[in-house]
Amino acid sequence: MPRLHAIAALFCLFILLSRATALAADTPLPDAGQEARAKALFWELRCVVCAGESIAESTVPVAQDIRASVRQMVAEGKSDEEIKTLLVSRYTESVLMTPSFAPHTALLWLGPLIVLALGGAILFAYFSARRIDPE
Amino acid sequence: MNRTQFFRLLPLLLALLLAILLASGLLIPATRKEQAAAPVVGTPLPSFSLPLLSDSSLLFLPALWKEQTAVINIFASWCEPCRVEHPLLSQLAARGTKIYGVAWRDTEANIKQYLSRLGDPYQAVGLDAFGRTTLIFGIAGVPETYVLDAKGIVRWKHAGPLTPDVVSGQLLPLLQKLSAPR
Repeated sequence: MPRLHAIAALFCLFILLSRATALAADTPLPDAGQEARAKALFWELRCVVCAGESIAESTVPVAQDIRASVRQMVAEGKSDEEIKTLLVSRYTESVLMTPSFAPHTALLWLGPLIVLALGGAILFAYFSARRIDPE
Repeated sequence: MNRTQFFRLLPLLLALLLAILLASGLLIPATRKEQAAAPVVGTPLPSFSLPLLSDSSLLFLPALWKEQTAVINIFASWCEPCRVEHPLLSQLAARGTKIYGVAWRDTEANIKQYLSRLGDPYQAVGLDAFGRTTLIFGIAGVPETYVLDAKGIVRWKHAGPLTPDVVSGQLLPLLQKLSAPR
């Protein structure tokens, strides 16, 4: 049992260290306020080659490059909107973790509600039909 | 058909509808999906500079290929699919296509070794050691290939290794169209 614990501890240490070295490649901005803004943006931007991960979490090279570019743009004084627009112009709207609510994304946002309403209507109709004409 | 029968058939109908929806998604041509995923196509490429591989004091600017159609190939010595497409690049270069290389996240020594071993199809190679061009092109991985027209506007993007089909079916016809006198 203690041996198992030791292995588990080593494994955790390994994960922590690999995580730390992956993050060490990113140089934070000297200005704490700007760095905080850049970090907040990282969570809103999707990693373009990972499945459902933001660039804040991802360790892949592309995400690292985009983090560096976002930091640079923040330092240059670009607004969050400008930075997001630039990323969308290269990687499509799928780069945003939260898609905008627009006519072409309405189905995406309202789809689940429509399906729920449809299912509810069908269930309702089914049970009321059974009550009226039992087989 | 009475109501109970209808409700019995309903799940089947819904499943059929879903199948039609999914099938129509599968049948969209891959090229159309690829173009839709490359919003950089149709926009001018921002200017940027990179150290040239041949002479690290020089800069690699889109101005270098302005006024002529050019192919830009993003590659790396550590990238296996790049080796696969390399013979195709060599063939293109042999028939006179100007190809500019961007060595992405690589080192000068490795790129020089790679090109001396496999041949150098590039007019010039810019070394992007730190992925600074990632956001300029919208790179998601290597290899990627772009076509720029004489005005510096991106006209085509292909992600992944070039294949004989892509070259003869898409790239060559486009280059022919762009180089035709207007």
